[in-house]
Amino acid sequence: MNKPVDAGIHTLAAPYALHALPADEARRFEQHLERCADCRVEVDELRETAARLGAAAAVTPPPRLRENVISRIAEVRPLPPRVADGQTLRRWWPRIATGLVAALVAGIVVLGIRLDDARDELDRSEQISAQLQQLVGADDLEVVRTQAGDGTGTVLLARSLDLAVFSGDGMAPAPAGHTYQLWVMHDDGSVVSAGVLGSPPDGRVGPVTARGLAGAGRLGITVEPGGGSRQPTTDPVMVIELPD
Amino acid sequence: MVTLRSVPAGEPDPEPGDRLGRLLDRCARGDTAAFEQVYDAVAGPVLGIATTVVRNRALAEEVAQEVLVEVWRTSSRYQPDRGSARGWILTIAHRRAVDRVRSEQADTDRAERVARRDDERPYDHVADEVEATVEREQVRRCLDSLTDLQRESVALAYYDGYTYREVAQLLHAPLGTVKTRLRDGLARLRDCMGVGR
Repeated sequence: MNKPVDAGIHTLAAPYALHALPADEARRFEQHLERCADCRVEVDELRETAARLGAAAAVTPPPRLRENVISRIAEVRPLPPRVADGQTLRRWWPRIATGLVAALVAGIVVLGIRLDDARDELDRSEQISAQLQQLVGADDLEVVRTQAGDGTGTVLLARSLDLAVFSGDGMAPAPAGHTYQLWVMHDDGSVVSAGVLGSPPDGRVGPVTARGLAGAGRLGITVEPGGGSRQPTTDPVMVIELPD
Repeated sequence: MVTLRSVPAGEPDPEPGDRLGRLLDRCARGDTAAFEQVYDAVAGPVLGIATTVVRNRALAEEVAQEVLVEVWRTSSRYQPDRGSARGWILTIAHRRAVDRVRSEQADTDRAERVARRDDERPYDHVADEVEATVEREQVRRCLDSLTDLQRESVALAYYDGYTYREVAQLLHAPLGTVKTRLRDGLARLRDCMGVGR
C-alpha cells in the first residue's frame, strides 16, 4: 500500500472520473485503484463533482418516460446485495479477477465431484480454494494472462504471499502418454517443478499452485512423459512472465 | 439537582442525499413507491445528461430509461461510504450515455464532426431548456472560475463524452497537458462546489 507508485497513473483519476479514458486504459486504472486507497477517495470526490456538472444539465422529462420506466421496473427484480466474507472482498474484489476466480472455483467443483472418493484431491482443492481467497485479498495481487496458440494461461500472483495459482484453458491435448507440467523458472537459470498438470480432453489444466517464487521471473509449461519429469525435457509450449 | 435539557423530538431533518440513499435501500427490497420518489428526484438530471452527451432526443430517452431501470435493478449495490446516492446515479447515467455515444459513432469520423461544430460552449447546448436551479447557477459560476483551457477540456470530456486522447487532438494539445487540465479543472470545480469529505 505504501510502496511508491508511478506518479503518472495518478493523473488519470480525473479522466477516469469523467469516463474519458479509452476502455483499455480504464481497465488498467481500475487495477491500480484496487491497490491505491488515496486514488479511490480522489475518484469518489471527482465523480461527485462531475455529477454536479450533470445535475446542472437537468431537463424536464416527458411523462411517457415515467410511465415507461415505472412499468418496466415492475418486471425487474432488484439484484440481491453482495454477500461477502470480508469487507475487503466486498469493496475491492478485483474486477478482473472476479470472473477468473469464479471459473477456477467452478473448475475445483468439477474436480471435487469427479474425484469424490479421492480424499487427497479434495484436500488439494480445498487448499487451492483457500489460497485463491488469500490471493484475492492480497494488496499486491497481479493477474497475468498469456496466449500461446489456442491455449490461454492465467496466473494469479501475490509476491507478498509467495504464491501463484496457474490455470490453463484451450490447451491442445498432449501426445498420448504425455502430460503438461508447470515449472518455476528462476532468473539464475534454475528450474523447479510446480506440478504435473495432466492433459484433460477439455483442454483445461490446473488450478495448480506454485511457490518458491523469489528470484523467479517466469512460469513455463512443457510437455513431459506421463508422470512428469524432474527437469524439463522439452522446450516450453507456454511461458508466462511474472511481474516483479 | 440535575437539570434535564429537552431533546428534539424525532429525527433531525435528513439531508436530501441521505433521503435518496434510504429510498434506494427500500428499492433494493422491491419497494416501487420508493422508486417513484427516486425517479422524481433524478429523472431530470439523468435525461439531461443523456441529452447533452448523445444529442439525439429519442436516443437520449432510451438511455435515460435504461439508466433508471438499472438504478432500480442495482439499488442494493449503492455504497453510502463512497459518495451521495445522487452522485452514484448520475455517474451511472454519464457512463451509459458515453458508452452509447461512443458505440453509435464508432464508425463515423468524430474529428470531422467536431470540425463542423460551431463555437458555442458545450454546456450551453441545452441551456434554454434546463431547469433553472440554484445548483445550475453554482455550476456555471464554478465553471467560469476555470481557465478557458481547463473549462474547454472538462466540457469536451464530460458534456461531449470525448476521451482525453480525443480532447488532446481536438485542442491540438499534448496528452500530458490535457491530463493536467482535466485534473486541475476538476479539482478546482470540486473545491468551488464544496465537494469533499
